[in-house]
Amino acid sequence: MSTTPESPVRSAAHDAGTGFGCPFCALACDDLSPPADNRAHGMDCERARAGFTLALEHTEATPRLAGVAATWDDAVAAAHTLLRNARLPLFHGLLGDLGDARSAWSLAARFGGVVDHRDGDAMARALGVYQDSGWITTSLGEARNRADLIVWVGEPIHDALPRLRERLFECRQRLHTDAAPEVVELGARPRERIDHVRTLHGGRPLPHDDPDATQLLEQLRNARYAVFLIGRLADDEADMALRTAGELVRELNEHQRAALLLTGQGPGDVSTQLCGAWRNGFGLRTSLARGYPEQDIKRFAARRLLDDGEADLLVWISSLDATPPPQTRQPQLVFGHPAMRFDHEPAVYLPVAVPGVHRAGFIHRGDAMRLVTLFAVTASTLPDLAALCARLLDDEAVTPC
Amino acid sequence: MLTCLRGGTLYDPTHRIDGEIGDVWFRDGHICAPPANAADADRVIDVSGKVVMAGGIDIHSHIAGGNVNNARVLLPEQHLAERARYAGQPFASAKWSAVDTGYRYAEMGFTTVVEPAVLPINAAQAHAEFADIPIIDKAGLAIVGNDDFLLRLLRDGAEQQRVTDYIAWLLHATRCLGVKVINAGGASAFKANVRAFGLDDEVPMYGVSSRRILNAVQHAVMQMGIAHPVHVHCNNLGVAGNVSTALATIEAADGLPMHLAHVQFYGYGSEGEHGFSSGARALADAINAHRNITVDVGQVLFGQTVTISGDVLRQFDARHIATPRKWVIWDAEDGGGGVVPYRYRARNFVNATQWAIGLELFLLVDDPWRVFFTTDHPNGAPFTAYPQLFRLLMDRDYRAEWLSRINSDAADASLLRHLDREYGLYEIAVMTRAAPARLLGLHDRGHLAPGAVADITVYEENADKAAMFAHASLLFKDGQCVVENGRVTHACRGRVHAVEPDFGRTIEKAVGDYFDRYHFITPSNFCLDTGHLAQALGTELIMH
Repeated sequence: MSTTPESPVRSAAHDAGTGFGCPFCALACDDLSPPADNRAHGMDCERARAGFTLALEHTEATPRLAGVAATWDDAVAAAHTLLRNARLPLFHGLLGDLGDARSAWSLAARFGGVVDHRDGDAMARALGVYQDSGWITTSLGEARNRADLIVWVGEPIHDALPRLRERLFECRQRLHTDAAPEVVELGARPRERIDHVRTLHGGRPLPHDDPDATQLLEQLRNARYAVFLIGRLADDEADMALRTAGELVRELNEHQRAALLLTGQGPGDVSTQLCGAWRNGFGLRTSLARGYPEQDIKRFAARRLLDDGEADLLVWISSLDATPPPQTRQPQLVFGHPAMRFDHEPAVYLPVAVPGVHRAGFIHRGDAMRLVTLFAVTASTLPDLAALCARLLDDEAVTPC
Repeated sequence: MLTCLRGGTLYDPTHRIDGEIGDVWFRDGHICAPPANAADADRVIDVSGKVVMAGGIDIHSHIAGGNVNNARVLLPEQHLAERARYAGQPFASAKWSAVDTGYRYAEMGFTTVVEPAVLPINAAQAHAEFADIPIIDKAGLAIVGNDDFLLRLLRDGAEQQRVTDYIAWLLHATRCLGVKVINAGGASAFKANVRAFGLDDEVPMYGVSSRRILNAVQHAVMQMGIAHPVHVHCNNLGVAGNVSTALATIEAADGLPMHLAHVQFYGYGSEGEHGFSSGARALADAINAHRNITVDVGQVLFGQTVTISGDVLRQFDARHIATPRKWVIWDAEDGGGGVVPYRYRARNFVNATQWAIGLELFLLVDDPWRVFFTTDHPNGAPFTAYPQLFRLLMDRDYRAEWLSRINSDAADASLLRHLDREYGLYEIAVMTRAAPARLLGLHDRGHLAPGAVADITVYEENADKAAMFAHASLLFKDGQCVVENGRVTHACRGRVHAVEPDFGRTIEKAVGDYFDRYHFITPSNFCLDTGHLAQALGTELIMH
């Protein structure tokens, strides 16, 4: 019997092989060529290349108080003061990895705040459908190996998931066949089509002829393993499209196999939700202001809390994305990407390490089935959000302003 | 620090200590021999009149991983409106959270809990949840038996050593303590639209039977030389008449060690006007006759719960009885599973019969070293119901009281009225401490001898055994006092137990080629790195 040695984290920079995860989209690929000489030129993915390049170019940064460079001690102390004095801090953005999500939930518990993700509206819709009825899902790996029909529901997602086409739609290395799956694209407004297919499948009449629906139903009935890939949907029909697709999948499964495949809404969404669930039982849009968790996916929506002034501090967490937070009336405490630039400087800006580039971490794949391991691939002086969080949670570790 | 627990009533079945009055000494994190001079003690705690046992060990409780977490999210109504119980402790006010899991186990005097269903693709999340469960030590059992790589090996007639190497590699990759088989081949068959899968049915595309998979995994576990025998969830769980499957599985073990999980769920006959009856007698007789078999019961207790299982065939079949009416089914790499909420009702014939079958098995299996106390948390009942279960086993009047409350047809048909056996504290200590430590190979726990880890529970004697076991009077974890008077007073971090069996390195090339062709992840990322787990999650692994 032995305990874990204090081994240093493996650095992909020192490990010529693959296996380091890319945190910049929901596919969380780990088969890209590693950055060499702190450059990401060899990566076969625009999004990965952009994400790694930006972070590799920014391995150090200075904290700022209202735009003025500050020491780390002063900046942490100012952050602590903001958090301590806030009546209801909103922890938002959450474009980060599991470690960032853990920090957000810990800070929200300590300072009595609400947690909502940047893509909270879409996440909350999916959560509402799930909590009402449940669903039948599959994973990226199973879709790759078994799907013979993929019904792509949502906007073209090349920008969001650049390698999906290569890794799923066009993949011929599959367990029981070497044929790529048939792909049917329904676009961002698929509700009526899915509704019609479901109606026809139930043997009920349609309000008008829909040959496309008739054809899709035939394709579905002939499929051995049909997958409804759910991407981004138009706001005004996303809820019903997802519900209808979910019910259609359940009905198909009475006699054959079919499943939904959810690919997530944006970086950090799945980790924020799932970590929240095991931390407090609920996840997204949960308030810890009263000493116990309360989830309300409408009342604790970030936009509403900011617009109504219910939240009096915006804590923006974004280690993966350098886009600054939206402008707000509330003061802002930003734990941000080191390349973040602001039109309106926040009260406190603490640059943090980018997971998967400057530090190790874990991030959920969009299908929620796998936490992908992230390694540090370059040296950096930037602090991990978790280290800042540990100081903020320990009142005595903060030098008073 | 040298501590003496003075004058307790000791139960340490590993050393055949049955209620003797004595002292337990520990220095820092380990139990030690009494010093030459008793005055050397830094701290003496008088526990006279109290019961002292090692910290409890639960071999089968679903406390972490994607399926558990998905159940939390599906059922907010099961943990709404909970008020703070521990002011000042982050998330301790959140019911059914990782923190709550650690706190509630500790309150009951437990110090080690095994999550028995870690799907390898989801292993990192299980470890991430473990990292947020305070106080208790954790371990996972890796699910095998539906992995396409394994099925290909078997289809292609690979040698047993190859299977063994693969499973050993998988244990390294997942950082687990043992191996679980769930309806071997069933999840793979379900992906090909099969809806029922017995021991001799073959997985489509592979032509390999469930029996063959089970046999290969069982032998692999033996060959690796790890302590815990293959942990088996049989075919046909929950189906009337399935006791024949359990009996056939016991025969299929062929005299070699095998652990059958939550056997209550396959203790079912198909007799009587309901077509559902107790098969407990036949099953208990078989367990008694086969010394190679250990079982845990998976006791049903009445109330609302949620069933969480990697047996996707069973969960899909149970969709019609979901209460409330919502359910989840998922397919994933090398497995699948489902979440189906359910309410066990005392007046329902089937539920009452399930309750009775569990208790019959406890009382008919004669060797407490081979029968374990689980509720298959949360499938039969939440683990927080253990104190009630212990009372049912220790108090026949309490059982009789319950028999008068349950469905009368079920009560009349049950053997329970004729079973007077009552478990004593020694047998409870066997079943909750000594035997689990032995079964899992955790030789430095489950007992009170020098060298053991100072995981020690002190209970207040009480005629009401449910009250006694609900709240430990004191709990020491690694020598630190973490519970006083049934309340957590200090939340330390627990550790994670795992094994690292040797394997032939050539398997890595074969697995690597397979992953490159078919997986969405590379093997080097799939394998959890101990240093990375420590860095990213704070995980402290103990290798056995």
